[in-house]
Amino acid sequence: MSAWGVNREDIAWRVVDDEAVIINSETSDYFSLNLTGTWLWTLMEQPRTREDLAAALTSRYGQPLGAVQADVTAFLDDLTSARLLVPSDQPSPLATATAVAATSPPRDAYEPPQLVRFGNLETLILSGE
Amino acid sequence: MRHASARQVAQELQLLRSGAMDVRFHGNSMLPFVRDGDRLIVEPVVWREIARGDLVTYRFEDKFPTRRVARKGRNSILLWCDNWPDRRFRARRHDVLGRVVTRERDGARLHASDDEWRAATERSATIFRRWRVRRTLVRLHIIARSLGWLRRPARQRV
Repeated sequence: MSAWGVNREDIAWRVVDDEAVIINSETSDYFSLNLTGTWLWTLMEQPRTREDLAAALTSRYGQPLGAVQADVTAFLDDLTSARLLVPSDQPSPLATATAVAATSPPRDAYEPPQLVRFGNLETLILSGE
Repeated sequence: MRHASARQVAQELQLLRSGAMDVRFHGNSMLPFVRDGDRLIVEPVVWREIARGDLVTYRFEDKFPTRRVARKGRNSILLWCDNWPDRRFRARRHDVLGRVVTRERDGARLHASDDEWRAATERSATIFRRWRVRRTLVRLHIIARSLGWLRRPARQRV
């Protein structure tokens, strides 16, 4: 079963007001995630399988597994095509993901996890004036 | 998240990935040590490790000023520019984003641990000390005159 984890070599991220902002230093692209996406992203600090993530979402939001799996698949496709994730051979156990879901009840209603691409970062100017 | 907010956060992340991304200095305020167009590498720094003479970058509105630390307080630092010794700036602790550790100019890199960097820091500190002494003398002169301790030179009659 294949797993994906955060591409730590090329990206940096910060969570602000429960939403993640991510940059890819290789491509200079920058992105944000919605609340559900940010929650999944924090889970992927350890490599997870698609099934892990879908199970965790179902556990957290009480959504049908079938619907959530399609959302997770689309989300992972977006993240991998933006080179924000890398494949891993060592997924974290499912029990960990569901335990995380159980200990952090959602403050938000379920919405499909979403990656928003804002654009490309240009040369950053450090102002001397 | 609004685009402007995301961009601001992304730029701060970019700053801290300046080893891999293009980050450049603009302006003449830090001459001669930092020139317009120099590439700078900034690393995160913890507050207790910031010292006088360090070059730090901080958040100010949507800009990232980079200046030299003149004095460090409990929750803010006083900064100045090598080329503008009579101007002062203040940055709050939570706005300090990082410390400049490398300058790249014409393909040559200079690191904060290099002798040339340390010599430049020392020269800058000397200029700052002289400026403070001069400013103190001017203030004392003004006070002394206002108290009548100094007489104005008598006008010579021709």
